[in-house]
Amino acid sequence: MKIETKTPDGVYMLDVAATIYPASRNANWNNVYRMAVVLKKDVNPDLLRQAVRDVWDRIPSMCVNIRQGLFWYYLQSVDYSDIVSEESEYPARHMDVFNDKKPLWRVLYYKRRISVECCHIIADGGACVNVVRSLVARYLQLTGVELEFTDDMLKLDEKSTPQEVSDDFKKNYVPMKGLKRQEENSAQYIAKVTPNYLKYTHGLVPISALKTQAKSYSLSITEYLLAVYLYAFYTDCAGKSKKPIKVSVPVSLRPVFGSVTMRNFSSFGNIAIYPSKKTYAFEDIVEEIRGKIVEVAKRENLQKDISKNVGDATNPIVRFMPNAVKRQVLKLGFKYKGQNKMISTISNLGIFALPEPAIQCVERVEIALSELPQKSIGCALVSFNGFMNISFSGHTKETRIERLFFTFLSSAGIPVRVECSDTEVCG
Amino acid sequence: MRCEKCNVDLAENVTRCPLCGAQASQCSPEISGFTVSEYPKVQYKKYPFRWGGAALIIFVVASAFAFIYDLKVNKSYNTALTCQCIMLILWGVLLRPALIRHRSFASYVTIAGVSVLPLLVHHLSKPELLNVAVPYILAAVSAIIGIAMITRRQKNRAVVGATHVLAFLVLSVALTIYNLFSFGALSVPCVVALCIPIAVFVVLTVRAPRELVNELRARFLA
Repeated sequence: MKIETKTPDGVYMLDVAATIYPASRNANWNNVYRMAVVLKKDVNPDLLRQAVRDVWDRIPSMCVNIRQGLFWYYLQSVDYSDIVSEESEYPARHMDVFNDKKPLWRVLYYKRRISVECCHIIADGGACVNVVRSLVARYLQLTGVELEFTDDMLKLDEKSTPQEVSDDFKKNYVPMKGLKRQEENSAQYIAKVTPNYLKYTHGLVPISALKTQAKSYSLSITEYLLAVYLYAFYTDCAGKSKKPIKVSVPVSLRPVFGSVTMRNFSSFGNIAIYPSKKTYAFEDIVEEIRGKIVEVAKRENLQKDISKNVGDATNPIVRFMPNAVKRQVLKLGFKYKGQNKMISTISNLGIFALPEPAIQCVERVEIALSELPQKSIGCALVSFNGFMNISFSGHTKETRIERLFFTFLSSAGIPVRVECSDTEVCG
Repeated sequence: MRCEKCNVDLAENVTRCPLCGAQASQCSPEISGFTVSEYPKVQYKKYPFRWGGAALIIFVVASAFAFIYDLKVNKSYNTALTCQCIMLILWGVLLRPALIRHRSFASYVTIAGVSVLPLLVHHLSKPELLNVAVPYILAAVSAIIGIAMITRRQKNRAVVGATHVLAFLVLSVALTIYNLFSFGALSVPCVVALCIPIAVFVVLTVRAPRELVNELRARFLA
């Protein structure tokens, strides 16, 4: 069933997945994530501004800010404004989403790094990664690198299509009955949160070594890293909680439903181990999670998720509830029905593909999540030029999980290079 | 650089391992071809004190006091309960969202004052005065918000203002119904309270902040 909603020019309804983000935000957090590209030369800010200007008109659904309406939040186009600035704060810092003139994304530069920080309200990682690829390619073009945009990139001389700005949740909605959200709560990772602080710990790992290890367990790389992540939590939390340890794995719905939308279109599944029922060795965790990601990413399961989410969002009671009340309801739902269901997230953005001449100018790519302060840790993966960047982001100075994770990899014979965004931590 | 303890490569400029804090040793790295991706030095600031929480505590304490006082002295809890319900709605639905952007000590004190005012009116006078004072307060606040929104240049504030005026309108209607059931007749203040938000809302709609019209069209006329 296709739900179509016409909106006036420049006004976008929030997509179904984005509904929760404005409601769940607080004074210090509003789900801003970061994608960064580290070049081999220092960034030229003027050329970067020009590149952003060139990309701007191509992505109308992202050049918006949020407005509070009577019944819902909605997105309103904003005119071009300079969103490029030098990085001077901690990564993915809080964004003033109600700023009248700025869109819900910004571009930062610091020495060799170009960072795009995007609020989840407007786009998910799968959409943002396309923007970053085009932005970097355009920037490199402006610096004099001769390169052609590949077919899978956003062509800047073309106009945005209606498919790119559509809410594909509603497009792919099939009404289903008897769908429930009942799920057991997860154990939580307890770490001392440092106020107004976010730290990234990046680990660079050769993909070939990871692949060999994953293959030895007959797993994909994502499954292998998920098993390591669960094992790290299991080692850290052992005996502290009787609840299952659940890690959330986001799944892009674009390839499954043939979507090209530049807005949110992803789902997730929580994959669990049950420490109260048995003692786990790493091999046991491998067996426990085998095939689970494939199961989560099955079309019929994803279709159920879409139906659940769209069904809830189009419920007449929800639609006609004043926004001020709805926000509180959604906030409570997010707190007790969303965040408690998992200990952390591991998100694999896949391969960051660039045209060959651009690859020579880029050293690495970093992607990092912005977990809730209470969540303490999140993990994002991205592959570029034979290396995978494993980025942990957290609001704590503690590094128990990162250490367990990376030392496990190095003990398995996988070389790891670790860097950290907090200059005080590593001197 | 390397950390022998964690068995991982480290960036060239570090002295300690970011994972375990151990001293970095100058060994040749296993992974080559990367140079450190630097971050700026940041002064981390603490979260600002939440004045909203303090104002809420004042409200809760005042409500509890009113409730107990009403129960002990008047042997009834109806008026205090009504009063608390109104204040709760005022706080949760109307005033707190208004503070999303403008957090200042003065605004929190004002809101705490507005919340506590009906209680004071109630307990310092006859219960009937509540029915006079509260509608006037509601009407005055909605008129002030309405005028502020009309004269404000930022359009989206007008939408927020319209939301609040509409919510005040709902409150006024609720109070009118309460009045009708309690005293069997409408009081003049209630009618005034009912009229002012309607007038303000009509003026706001006539001035038609574009976003408000757009949103209504998007939600209900599509």
